[in-house]
Formats: sequence, structure tokens, C-alpha cells
Amino acid sequence: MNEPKATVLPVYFVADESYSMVNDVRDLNTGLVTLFDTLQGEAMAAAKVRFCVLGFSDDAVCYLEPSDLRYVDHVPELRARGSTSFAAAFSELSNRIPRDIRELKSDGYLVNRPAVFFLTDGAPNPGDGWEAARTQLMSLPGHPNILAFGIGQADADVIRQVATAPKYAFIAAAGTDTGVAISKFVTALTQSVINSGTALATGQATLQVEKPDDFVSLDVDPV
Amino acid sequence: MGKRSKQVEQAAADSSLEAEAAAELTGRADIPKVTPPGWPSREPIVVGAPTPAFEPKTVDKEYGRTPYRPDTVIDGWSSGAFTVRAASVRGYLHRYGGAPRQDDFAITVDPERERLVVAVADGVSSAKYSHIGSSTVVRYATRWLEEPPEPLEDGGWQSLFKSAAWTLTEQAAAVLSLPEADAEQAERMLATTLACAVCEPHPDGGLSAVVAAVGDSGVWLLTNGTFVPVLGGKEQSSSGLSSSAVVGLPRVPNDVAPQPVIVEPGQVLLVGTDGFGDPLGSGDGDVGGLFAGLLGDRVPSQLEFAHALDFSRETFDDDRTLVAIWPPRG
Repeated sequence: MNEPKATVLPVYFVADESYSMVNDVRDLNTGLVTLFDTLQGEAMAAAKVRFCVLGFSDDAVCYLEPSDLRYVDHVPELRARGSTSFAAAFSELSNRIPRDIRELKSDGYLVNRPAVFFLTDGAPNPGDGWEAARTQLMSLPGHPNILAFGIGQADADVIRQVATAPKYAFIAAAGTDTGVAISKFVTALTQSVINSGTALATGQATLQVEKPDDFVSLDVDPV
Repeated sequence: MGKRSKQVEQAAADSSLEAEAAAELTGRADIPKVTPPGWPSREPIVVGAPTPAFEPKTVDKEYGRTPYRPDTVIDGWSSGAFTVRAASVRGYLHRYGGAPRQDDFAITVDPERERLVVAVADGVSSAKYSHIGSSTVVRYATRWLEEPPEPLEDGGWQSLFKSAAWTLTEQAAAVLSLPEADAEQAERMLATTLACAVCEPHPDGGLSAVVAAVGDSGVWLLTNGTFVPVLGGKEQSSSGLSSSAVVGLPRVPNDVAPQPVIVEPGQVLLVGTDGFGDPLGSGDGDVGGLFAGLLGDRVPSQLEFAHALDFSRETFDDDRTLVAIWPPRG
């Protein structure tokens, strides 16, 4: 490893663009603008993130290649169109994540495990094989942490299946301002992913749960 | 020249200094300003792209305000065979967000036995009181290693880390007002790495050291401008991704592997947290150049050392702690 240029976190904002989003897509775009504004005002956090915007319905479309948001002038606009193919979204991520990581590393960056913020308002197309597409994505060495966010009519069970950990599954309460919720959610989670850090139970180390036999007690300074 | 003339000359010089000071205040341009040589201490040393400039925040109440946690700790001295410079600086992100410096160090020297003990710890960022954890374990470890209750070469290091882990758990119970010691709570709230070095003079000159660590703090030997890794640092996973995930106390590795190292005259032994190790990388870039230049040919002053450690480089905004140990010049 040579001297790294910086440490970066690839973040994929993956938004449902199916036709049922027609009433929410404006909020979603407003949320994106707020998100971009917020991160541009947080230069230290923004410098660590390479932000990519994907929309999916029948297929997946990339609206913003992984970018340093401090240098992006134009906020992409999502649309409402077609059906809800989770499979298309996961296949696109499987294709691009290894490529994106490779490019960042060849530019001299240390790359943290990518984070996917997956937003949907509904159920996946029946029988489109999204579970297999997700499994394939998660078998990659650079597989992402997926944070799934359900709004509107989203199915809680599906949201839990998409997320890579129970703590990464979120369902917005009815009546929540979607744009504000999305913006706050992404900003807070971006920061928390940057700062995250404890690896538990790796098998290489065990928790010291009892006083060792030969424990030497020293005076511990009171706090 | 008589005594009286010297006094006049001194008075004239004093008066000229006063005029210069007055010119500073009034902004007069006809008196040359003195620029201090070297790095201006009012600015960070920038390596590559800088981190944004801002005034640091005090530590938020949620982290506790007692015991007082200073932004920066600086130390440096010579004793017998050892010359030491050490600093622990709060990272730019913690300064920005009002979080405490989670790193800490402790050093003890016994001049009679010519034995130097160094401990460096990096509190795990997700554990809210890890700054208390890091201070607890460095103090415990240096005192334990001063008079090891069992020989280090016969499993003593494992005992040290187990005992330091238990002290952390007891400290957590006190800090969190728990009815009994709870290692899981200690890990959640006070987890910390710990790297230690024990140094003695080598009969052939230089120093003989043994180093051991839990977690991703590192030890390097600086020799002829090259940073030779001795211990620790971050390992790239099989995915090739870097990770901020770390195993810290009170979790103890099943096998602690102490590492002996000889420090020859002209070389420098370095013990540091990943806040230093990550931007250093292999040491052959600009960060390595800064520290090779700072430490290689002479011993810097304490303030120079800390100023350099506080360098500004985009995205490298973690706390940084570094202890440098020089053997006597041959």
C-alpha cells in the first residue's frame, strides 16, 4: 500500500421510480436537493463520500456516477415510470460496484465497504427473481451494507429482507414528510457509516468476561 | 567600548523593539516585519489537500466533562539511554463535532534500571466513553509493565492484556454505575485498542525493545528515511476494502504475539495509532517525507513534534497519537 490519497466511502442512493411513486417523486427530488445541500455544507463528510444516484423501475438507470458532491452542480432528477424490478436494481449494483471500487483504488484511494440506501414505496414485481439477484450481489467480495427504507405502501417483510441487518431496515410512519425524512435519514446514516467501527465476535478474540486468576489490581483513577 | 556605551546601545535596541511592536499594532509599513523561520505555528502543516479550517468545539456534555479532557497532550524528555517525544492530538472530526480526543498514551521510565515503558491506546469511536477507556488502559499497562508480576517471556503479555481488559470492565462498571462488572457493556461503551513497548539499552549500543498490541495501532522503525512496519496497522481484507472495524479491549486475542526489535543508533522507534498509520501508508509519500524529515536527523522540540502530528490532510481526520523513542547517538 502506497500513501493513500484519501479514505472514501462509496454511497449508492437507489430509488424506486415505479409509477406508484408518482405522488412522492417530487418529495424525493426535493430530498435529494436537501441532501446535496447538506453534504456540501459538511465539507469534511462530503470529502469522504463518493455519491452515486440510481433509479429503478423496469430497468435501472444511473443518474450520477460516483462523485465527490462538493464538485457537483447539478442535482439529478428522478422520475415515475414503469414497474418495480428489484432484480434490475440489484443486478446493476452487482455490475458496477466491483468496477467502481477498482477505479477508486487505482486512483490511490482507500475504499470502505460501500453503503446502499435503498428506497421503495411498494412491493417488488412478483417472480422477477430479486432474491437471487440480491444473493449474487452479497456474494461479491466488495458487497455493500444495504440500508432499506420503506415509504408509502412498502411491505415491512420485504424491507427487512432487503436490508443486510435488522438495524438497517426502516419504515417511515404514515404522514411523515417524505422529503425531509429521506434527507435526514441519508445524512445521519452517511455520518454513522463513516464513523462506524466495532467488529464483534470475529473468532480471533474473546471477550474477557471474568476476572483473570492472576489479575493485579492497581488503583484506577476515579472519573 | 565602555560599560556606559553598552547600556546606551541596549537602550537604543530596546527602543527599536518597542517601535517594531508599535508598528505591528499601528500597521506602519516602514519597519520590516520578522517572519519566524520554519513552519508558522498558527497554521497546520498541510500535506496534500487540507481539511477545512474551523475553530474547534469544546467537548459536548454527553461525553462527560470530568475528568477534563484536553485537545492535545505533549511530552518530551531524555532520561538515561532514552530520548522521547510524544503527542496525542484530537482529530479534526472530533474537534468539529465536539467529541473528545479518544486516543491517549502513558510513558514511564525507571532511570536506575534503565527501562522505558510506553503504552498507546485508541478508543473505539462507536463507544461513547472510549476516551476514558483509553486513558484507563494506558495507565494500567504502564504500571503493570513497570514491575511485571510475571515474566513477559512466559506468557506475561497475555496476562497483561487480560488484566487490562478486566480493569476496563471494572472501570466501565464505575463509570456506568453498573451493579456488577459487565464485559459486554464495557465493550459497548469503553472499548479501546492498546499497544505497548518495553525498551532497554542494548549491550552493543542502541536499544532492545519488545512490542505487543491488541487492535490496529502500529509500531514502526524509522531507518534511513524508511518506515519499516514492526507490528499492527490495518490489514486489508480479502475483499481489498479497508475497514474501520477494529477488535479492542476488553476483547483479548487468543494469541498475543510480542515482537522483539533492535533499535540501532540513528534509528527511531515509533508507536502510534491508526490516525497516524493510515495516512502514513507505506511511508514513501508526503506524510512519510514530513516525519522522516522531522525525526531522522535530529530530535525535534516537543512543540514541533506535536505541530507536525497535527498536520492537515483531507479525509484523515481521526485522533492521532505518536510516541518516538531515540537511542543514544553512537
